[in-house]
Amino acid sequence: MHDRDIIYLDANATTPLRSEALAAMMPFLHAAYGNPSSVHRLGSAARVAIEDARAVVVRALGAERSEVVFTSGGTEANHLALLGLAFSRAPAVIVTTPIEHSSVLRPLEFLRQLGWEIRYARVFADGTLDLEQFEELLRDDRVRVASIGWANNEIGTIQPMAEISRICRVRQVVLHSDAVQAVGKIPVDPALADLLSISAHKFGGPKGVGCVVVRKGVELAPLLRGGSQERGLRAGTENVAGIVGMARALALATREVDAFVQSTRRCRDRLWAQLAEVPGVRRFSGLGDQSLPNTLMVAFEGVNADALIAALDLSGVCVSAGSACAAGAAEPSHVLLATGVPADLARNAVRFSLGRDISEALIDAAAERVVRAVHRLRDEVGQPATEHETWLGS
Amino acid sequence: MARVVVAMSGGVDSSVAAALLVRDGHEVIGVAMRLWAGPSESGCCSLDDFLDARRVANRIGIPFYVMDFSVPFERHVVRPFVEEYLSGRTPNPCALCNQFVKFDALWQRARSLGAEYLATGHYARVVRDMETGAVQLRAATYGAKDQSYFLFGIPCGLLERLLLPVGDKTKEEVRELAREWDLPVAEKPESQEVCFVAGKSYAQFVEEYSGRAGRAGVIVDESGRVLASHKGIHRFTVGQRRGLGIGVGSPRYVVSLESDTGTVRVGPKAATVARGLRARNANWLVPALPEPGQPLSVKIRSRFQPVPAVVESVSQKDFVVRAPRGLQAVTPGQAAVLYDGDRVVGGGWIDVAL
Repeated sequence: MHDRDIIYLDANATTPLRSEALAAMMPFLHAAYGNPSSVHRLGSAARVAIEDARAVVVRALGAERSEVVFTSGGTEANHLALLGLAFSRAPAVIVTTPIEHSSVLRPLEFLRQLGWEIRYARVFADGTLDLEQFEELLRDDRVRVASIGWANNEIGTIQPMAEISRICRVRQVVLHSDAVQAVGKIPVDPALADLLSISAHKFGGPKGVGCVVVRKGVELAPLLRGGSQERGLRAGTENVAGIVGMARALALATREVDAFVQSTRRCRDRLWAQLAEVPGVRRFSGLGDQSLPNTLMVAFEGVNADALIAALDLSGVCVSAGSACAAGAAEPSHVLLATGVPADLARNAVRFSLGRDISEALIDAAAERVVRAVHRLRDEVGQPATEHETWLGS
Repeated sequence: MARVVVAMSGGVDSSVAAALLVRDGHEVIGVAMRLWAGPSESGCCSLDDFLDARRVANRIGIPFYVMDFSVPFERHVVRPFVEEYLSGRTPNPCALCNQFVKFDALWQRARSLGAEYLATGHYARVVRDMETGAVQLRAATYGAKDQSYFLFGIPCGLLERLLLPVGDKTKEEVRELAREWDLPVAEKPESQEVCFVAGKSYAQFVEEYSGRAGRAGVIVDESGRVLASHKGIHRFTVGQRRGLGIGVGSPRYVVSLESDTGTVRVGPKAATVARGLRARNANWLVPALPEPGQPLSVKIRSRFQPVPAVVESVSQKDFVVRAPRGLQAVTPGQAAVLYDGDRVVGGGWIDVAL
């Protein structure tokens, strides 16, 4: 298989580095190698590059320069936001949802060991937060923090952030939002949240860099202590090239976001129109405004995700299951389980997530291969091997 | 040249098997089976083994997937393993896994990926009889590593779709090939443990998994005299000598286990010798069942030199064999595999010693 024959439909996992971002990064991977903390000309050039990048990020998102803290990516951003909030306050209650990314759920479980209480707000079958119940939960004065992901990485549900933001402000609850899957894919107004997590490689930037947008006045304790980088909120020599690449990619992605929405939605709908013809298909993602335009998660009855992903990969189509274990086997997604999908069906779920380079021709080619793979997998599995009852007690 | 799915464990045998298939020009797809999602981080489902398999696949240029088979594995291997111990028998999980998971669930998966053949790194041979055209399962060329015993349960129809590329090699030859091809697992030590119980005693695993213990009871000698009490029948296996807690006098061996009373019978070594056995749930790898009276040899556990045996009665589902020279420690739950020379005739699960 040649690389040019690959149809990459896994943009929610990662995206290719944009050539503009790579070009912007190159000097800082080689000739402009200074440490931004050094006072000489090489250091100064690196410092300027970071601050220029910060200005670009600020402009793209609509924030202030002092509000952007660069991190090593989305996971660190979520940790800095959640643990950073918790470490600067007395233990209280945090409200979140059961469909958050594991980089939110796991640190919250850790906080539980430190005396914080975690409450899970209800989501509807489509993944949307139950606002009424959320508001009810926040009536308890002990709730000090809420963490609600802007858009879900698996089923693509976009939360009603304006409403969520209003409820939190009324209750004076600090709102964190993991916006890793939203930024670059849909318009995002960071002013709606007190803390926002962003990851560069989801919108054409490099891996290993991200940021938290921390609204002025929100008290945060650093996780990494040492040097005074990032105003003391994140010690450690900056990933200069990464930050520069992230800024370049973010500027492009936010400028092009309307086009991204249009083209991916058109292709996503076109993909679904073809997959919907397959008997026994189930769709878990919405198709409307309240869902990411590029995301389609489906399951085919009787077709295991492991098998479909391998069959598609062999035909050059790259997709993911909702979740995978450390070794790489598909696992039933916690998001689907939390929205009431039975485990058997969740084991069949595969996610198509489209990137900016998608086209109708590519989608048609992919859809054809998917349909063929599903039929083939069902044909084989449909002739059941002998049903073995274990012989114990027989 | 055909499309072949090779089961890759991350060990040197299956790695070299995959590489040999690539060398022979096949279109090879590597699949590692995730069998056990339980708490164990070591054993065959350890992350390092999957990563090793992935590195080998990358090295030899084949696609590679980790696939989850934990549902059939638990149903056909883990649960029976535990229930067998609790009922005073000694299961053979590797043979169960081959029969019910690798040569069933994995083969189905392989076919669904368009594979014509399934390959593994077992030391055994699939040989086509030039006269009859029938495909036969034979012991490995070099007996020391022979694993044909574990393969007796393979469905007869799959035999001609099975490739065993290392079956005619010695372990040292396999390692030498791995070195020559610079496979990153060339020097990897072998794993000997049952994968899902790694790091624990079987008894401990049985107790933790089932939340109970086998029936407690007493240890008695041949005359019925009580020698000691014990905490559960799942801690014993026929032929066992150590750990009986009756360390006086001449060595005593477990002769039989009675799960309904919790009685463990012990005796001198001679008492563990049976004249034959009955096996159930047989699987045959020959076109016609063996004839009563036919002289064969039988192997009754993995580390056991096959001994001459005569078929007494036989049906599709079960058989009785007699061994004129006796069988040391016939253990219910283990497999009894019949050989005609180095050819596997078939086998079954030992029900009772006779």
